[in-house]
Amino acid sequence: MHKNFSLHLPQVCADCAGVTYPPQGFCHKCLSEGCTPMALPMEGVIFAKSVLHYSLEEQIKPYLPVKFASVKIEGGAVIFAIEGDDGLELGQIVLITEQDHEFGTLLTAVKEKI
Amino acid sequence: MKGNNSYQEIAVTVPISLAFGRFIDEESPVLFARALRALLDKAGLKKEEIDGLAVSSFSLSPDPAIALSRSLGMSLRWFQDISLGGASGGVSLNRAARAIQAGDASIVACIAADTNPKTGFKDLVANFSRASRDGVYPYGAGGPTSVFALLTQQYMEKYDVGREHFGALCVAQRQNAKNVSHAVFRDPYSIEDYLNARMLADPLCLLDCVMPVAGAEAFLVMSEDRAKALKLPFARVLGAIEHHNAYAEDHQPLRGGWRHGVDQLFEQAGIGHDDIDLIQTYDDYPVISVLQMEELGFFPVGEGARLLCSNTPDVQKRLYNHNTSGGQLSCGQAGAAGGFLGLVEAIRQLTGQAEGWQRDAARHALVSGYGMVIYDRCLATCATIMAAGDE
Repeated sequence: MHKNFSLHLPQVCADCAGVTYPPQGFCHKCLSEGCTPMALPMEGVIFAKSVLHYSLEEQIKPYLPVKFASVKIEGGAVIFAIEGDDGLELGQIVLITEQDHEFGTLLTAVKEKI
Repeated sequence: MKGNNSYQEIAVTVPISLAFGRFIDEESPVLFARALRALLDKAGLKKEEIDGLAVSSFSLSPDPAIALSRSLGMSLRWFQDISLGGASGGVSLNRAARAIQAGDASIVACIAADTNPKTGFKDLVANFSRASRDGVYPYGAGGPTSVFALLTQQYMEKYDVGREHFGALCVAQRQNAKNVSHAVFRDPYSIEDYLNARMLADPLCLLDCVMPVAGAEAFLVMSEDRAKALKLPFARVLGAIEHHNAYAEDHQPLRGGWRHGVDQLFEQAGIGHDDIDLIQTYDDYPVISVLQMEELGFFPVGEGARLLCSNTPDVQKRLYNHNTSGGQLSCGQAGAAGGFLGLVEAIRQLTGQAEGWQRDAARHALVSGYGMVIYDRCLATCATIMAAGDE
């Protein structure tokens, strides 16, 4: 199966603790180059969500609709994530994990296990 | 904050809109040449009389923008590459006006053009920026519609409005396009049609989204004395602002740089909101038009979508005089030329050249821009107030 898209982890700055996403090799706050990828899973809150019914990529069209959300993570950055569980709600606390999807390994929001 | 110096004695003239349909194979320099030829023909100028050029385009690669000076055969004292998407028009005008005032150029041609081959939009979106390529596109490859679906949903949740509130704006814009010669879509539709349209990314449907097309938009900037000598009808610039990445620490910001400068803009223009006859907003998605009207003071923040849905004479008049060409929702989005559409339409209206869709009372227009969606926001914002030249 063709998997075109790769995972990009948020980065945290060793100097000021600023979180930058997508990663860019330096901190967007203090410009330090001492940034490291954040570990998964991490906690976040669903900020906004949508369901994509079309795609510009032929390889994704067979897998539509795609549920995705923006999630505010620790440190304050907002990431995009695939919704890995049904029934996620706005404001819900979720875990951000790494999951394989048909079109790539991507950040994925799932329910916290109680 | 100290305000900008005035834009007095600056004339904006010769509005050009060229529509080439949805897909074409010609490369962008061909469209620039057609637009320049149209400017020269309409102004009665020789190419050698234009010594300034501002260009906006996403599709010139592999050429750098300056290559146009060679391919168009122009020798220039002043050149700017202002590829700021939906803010290209307003920012081009600001910079060109300052060049004229400083004596760095005597006549500036501002041209935006983009071609649209069959895979052009996908290719543009897939590599539009590092942040979008790595952080947005992999999550379904919805392009900017993914980002604006989230922003629209966020607005709807925060201010408790529904799709129908945005639908009213879309329906009105299509109504405005019915006599517009360069519009791609002119057939009116109803709010029921809007609510039943195919969903692309909840809550955005097909009728919320602009169609990528090929096109060119252009205008000239010069001194008032020069415009009068050439007997060109012109508009005056009363005020202008721009701001970029205005709320750097916001996430998915439901606000833009207009809020920073709106008081300065109206103070510089010397007129009030009730004096504005026409509003041309950048309308890549209806929520963005609403945000522009709210942040520029035409509606309280959070109430714009709901108020635009009301059937009062004042609101109906405002909708009739908003995006009078039908906007990009009717004319399509010709890349960076989409960022010129509202400004060129305002010049056309203020100079009485909108044959078939002229607003007779058009004396003052406000044009706002919003461009360059990078990850979760557009970065470039601008707004301009113009008056009819005989004002």
